[in-house]
Amino acid sequence: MSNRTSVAAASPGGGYKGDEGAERGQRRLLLEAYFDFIRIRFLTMLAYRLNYYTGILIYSLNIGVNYFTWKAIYGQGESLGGFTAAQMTTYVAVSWMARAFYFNNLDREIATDIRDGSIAIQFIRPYNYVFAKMMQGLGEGMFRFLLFMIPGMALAMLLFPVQLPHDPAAWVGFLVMLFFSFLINSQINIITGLLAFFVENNEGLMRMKRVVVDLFSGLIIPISLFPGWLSSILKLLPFQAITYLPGSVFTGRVQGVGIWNVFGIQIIWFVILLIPLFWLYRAARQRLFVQGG
Amino acid sequence: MLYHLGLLSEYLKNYMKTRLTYRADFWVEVLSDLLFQVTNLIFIFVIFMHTNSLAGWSQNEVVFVYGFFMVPWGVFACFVNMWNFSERYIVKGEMDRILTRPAHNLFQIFLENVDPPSLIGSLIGLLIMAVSGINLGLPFEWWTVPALILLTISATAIYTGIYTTLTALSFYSDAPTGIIPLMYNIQSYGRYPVTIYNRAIQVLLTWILPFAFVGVYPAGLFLQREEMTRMALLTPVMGAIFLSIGLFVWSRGVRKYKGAGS
Amino acid sequence: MAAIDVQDLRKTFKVQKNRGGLKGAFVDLFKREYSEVTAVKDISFQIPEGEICGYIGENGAGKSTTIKMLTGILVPTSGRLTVGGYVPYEEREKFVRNIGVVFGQRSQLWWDIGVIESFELLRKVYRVGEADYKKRLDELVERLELQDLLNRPVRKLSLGQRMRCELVAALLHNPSIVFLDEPTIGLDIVVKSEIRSFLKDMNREHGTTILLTTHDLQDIEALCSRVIMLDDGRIIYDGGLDELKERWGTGREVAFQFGTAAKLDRLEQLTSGMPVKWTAENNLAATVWIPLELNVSDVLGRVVGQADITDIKIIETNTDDIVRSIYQSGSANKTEEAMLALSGEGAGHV
Repeated sequence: MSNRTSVAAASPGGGYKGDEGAERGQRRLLLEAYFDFIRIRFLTMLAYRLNYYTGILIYSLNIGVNYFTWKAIYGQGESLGGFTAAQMTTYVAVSWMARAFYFNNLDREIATDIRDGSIAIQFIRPYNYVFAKMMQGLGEGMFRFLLFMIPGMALAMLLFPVQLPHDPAAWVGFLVMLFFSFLINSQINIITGLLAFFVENNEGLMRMKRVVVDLFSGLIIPISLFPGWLSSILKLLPFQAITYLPGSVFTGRVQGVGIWNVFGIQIIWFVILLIPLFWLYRAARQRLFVQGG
Repeated sequence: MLYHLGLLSEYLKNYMKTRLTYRADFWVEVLSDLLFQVTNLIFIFVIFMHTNSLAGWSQNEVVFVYGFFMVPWGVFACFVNMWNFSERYIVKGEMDRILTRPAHNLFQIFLENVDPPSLIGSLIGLLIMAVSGINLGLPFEWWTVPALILLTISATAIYTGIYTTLTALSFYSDAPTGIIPLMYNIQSYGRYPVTIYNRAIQVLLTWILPFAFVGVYPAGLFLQREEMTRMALLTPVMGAIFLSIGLFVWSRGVRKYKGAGS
Repeated sequence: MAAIDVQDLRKTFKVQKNRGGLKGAFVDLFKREYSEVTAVKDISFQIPEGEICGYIGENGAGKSTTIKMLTGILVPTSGRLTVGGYVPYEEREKFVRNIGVVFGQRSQLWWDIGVIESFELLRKVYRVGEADYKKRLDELVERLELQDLLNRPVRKLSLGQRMRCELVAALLHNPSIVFLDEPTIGLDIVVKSEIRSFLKDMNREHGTTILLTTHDLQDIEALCSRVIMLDDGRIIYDGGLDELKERWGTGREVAFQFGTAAKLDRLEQLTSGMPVKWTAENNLAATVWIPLELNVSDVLGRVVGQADITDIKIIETNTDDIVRSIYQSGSANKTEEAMLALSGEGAGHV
C-alpha cells in the first residue's frame, strides 16, 4: 500500500501532499527512472552492431544518390531556388545526418503497445507514458548522434564536397534547432501512434506520415525549390521545422537575426503541437480506463 | 511445376478470403504504397522545373524509366515478399512449420506472403510508361510487349536473387541487420540514368548489385538509347545468374537454421 | 525395420556472448565472442513401427532439439538418423509427406479463415486425393467432434478446439509416423483425455508410430509403453514405463477412511516393526507410506479388523515423483563426482 502512495507522489500531477523531503526524494528517483529510459535504449541500440554499420552506409548512400542527382541538375547552372551547388551538397548531407538524430519509430512502438494491449499496463505504471516514450526516443537519438551522425558526417565530408559553416552562431543555432527537430518530429510520431486508439487502421496512416514528413520537411527537396503555391502552403505546416529550417541555418542561408526568427517558428510549432498531444493522451486514458479500451 | 502452380492459386484464394474480412486495410495499403511512388514522381517533376535535361535525359525519358522501374518492382513485391522473414519465421519459429511440409520451403514462404495490392503499382507503372511513351512519340513494335514481359521477368529474377541472398543471412543471425533497408535504398539508384553517377557507382550498379538492370538499362531499349541496348539484352542473363546465387545461398542457409526457442 | 533409428546424434549451437555494461556493449560493437553449447550429446535409440514412445525431460534437456532433427527441421552436427527410411534433412520434401507434426504452442492453421479452408489447402500441399481426403476428414471430424467448428475462423476457437483442429491438420495425409511436441499443453482435463484416447485409437487402428514430448506425465501413463528420458542432452533412461516405476519408484501409499476416530499412535502401534510411515489428516483419515520391498497386503492385514475402516484407496506412485527422484539422484551423482574430483585434486596437492 505504501508503494502506491509513493507512486502518486512521484507521478507528475498526482496531488499528494506529503512530507516535502520524502517527496523530493521520490521526484529525484522518478527523474532517474526517466534517465534510465535514455540509457537502456542507448544500450539496446548498441547491441545491434550490424544494424549500426549498415545504417551509416544507408545514410551515406542516400546522400550519394541525392548528391549526384543534384550535381547533374546543376550542370552549369549557378543557383537553384536560392541554393548554390555547394550549399545544396551541404544541405543534402546535413539534412540526412540530422534525420539520423531526430528519426525514431515511436509511432510504431505506441501503435504496437495499443494493439497488443500492453499499453494498459504501461499507463498504470508510475510514470508518464508519453514522456517515457520521448525519453526512449532521445536515447535512440543520442546513440545515433554520437555513433552515427558524427562519423557519418565525417564520411560524407570525405566523399562529397561538404562545406562546414565558419560562423559559430550557425553551429550553436543548428544544434539547438536540431534538438527541437527531434521534439517536433517525436510529437508528430506520438500523435500518429496514439491515433491507433481511435482509427481502425493506423498502419496506412503511419506509412503516409512517414512519406509526408520526408517530402514536406524538405529532406528530399528543399522547400524553396517547390512551385510557389506549394512552398507557401508548406511554410504554414509544421514539417519544415524538422529539416528545412535547421538545414538553412547550417548552410548559412539564414544568418544573424534570421536564426532567431526560424528558431521562433520551431518553438511556436513545438507549443502548438503540445495541444493535440495532451488532448489525445487524455482522451486515450479516458478510453482505456472508462470504456475499458 | 503443375503442383506448385496449383498451390499458388490455392494460396491466392486464401489470401482473398482473408483480405475480404478486412476490406478497409486493403485500400489503405494500396493508397499508402502509391503515395510513396508519388513522392518519387514529385521529385522528378520538381527537378525538371529547374532544368531541361538530366545528363542528357529529358523529363519524359526519366519518367518513362521510372514507370518501367515500377513494373518489375510491383511483380516482385507481390510474389516475393520477404520483408518480415526474420521476425516471423526465425524469431517466432514459423520456419519449423514450413520445413515439415512437402513443398519447397522458399516457395512456401513466397506463397504465404503473396501481396496482390503491389500489382497495382505495376499497372500504374505501365500507365506512366504509356503516357510518357506517347509524349516521346516512341514507336510500338511487334516485339514491344514480348520484350516487356521478358525484361520484367528478368528484372524480377534479379530482385529475387539479391533479396533472397540477403534474407538468407537471417539464418546465421537473428539480430536485425538493416541490410534489407540498405538494399532498398541502393535500388533507388537504378531509377535514374546511371550516367549521372561517377564511375565507381556505375560499376557497382551494373555488376555487383545490378540494380541498373531493373530500371534504366531495360527501359533504355524502349527509349531507343543505343548506348543501353547491349545492356538491356544482357538483363535475362543477369537475372539467371543472380537468381541462381540467391537459391544457392538460401539452401545453404536452411541447413544452418537453428530453430527458435527450445 | 525401426521407424526411427538414431545413432550417436549430436547437435551443437553457437551462442553469442554479450559483455555487460556500457563499456562491454561498446566492445561488442567491434568484437564478438561466441561459445558453443551442445544441446544433444551423442544419443542413440531405435523406435520400432507402431510404438508410442514418450520423450521426456526438463526444459532445455534437448527434447525439442531432438524432435527438430527427427522431423528434418534441424541438420545434426554429427551422427546418423533415419526416420521412416529417409534421412530427414536430405530429402526433406519427400520425407515429410510420411510424417505428421504437431507443435502444441504453434499453429498450423490460417488465423483468419475457416478451419476447413486450411484443411483444403493442406490437402493440396500434401497431394492427398479427393476421395481419400474426404474419407479421412470425415473419420477425423467425427472422432474429434469437430462438425460445428469447421467453418469458424481459427481465432474464434478455444484452445481445446484449436488443438483438436491442429491434430486433424497434422493427420489428414495419414502419416505413418507422428511427432507431437507438448500436444496437451494448457488444455483442460476433458480435452486432454479426449486427445489421449484419440491418439491411442489411431495407434491401434493404423499402427501409427508416435513420439511425443510432454511435461504432463499423465500423458505418458495413458499412452506410452516406452519412455526415453533426457537430461542435459543425454539419455538417462530408455525402457518400459513399468520398469521405470519399479526402478525409481520409492513406494506406494494407502489412504484409509475410518468410521470411528483412529489415533495416529494407535495406527503406528498396529504396524510396529514395519518400515512404514503414517500421516494423519484428521481423526477419520490417515495415509500410510509403504516401501517397495514390503507387500501392501501384509500391511493391510495388520490394520484391517483392528480399526473401523470405511474406505481404502491404494495410491500408485505418480510418474512425476519418479522423474523428480531420478533428477535428484542424478544431481546426487554429479555432486559425488564433483567431490571425487575435488578430493583427487586435494590429494595431488598433498
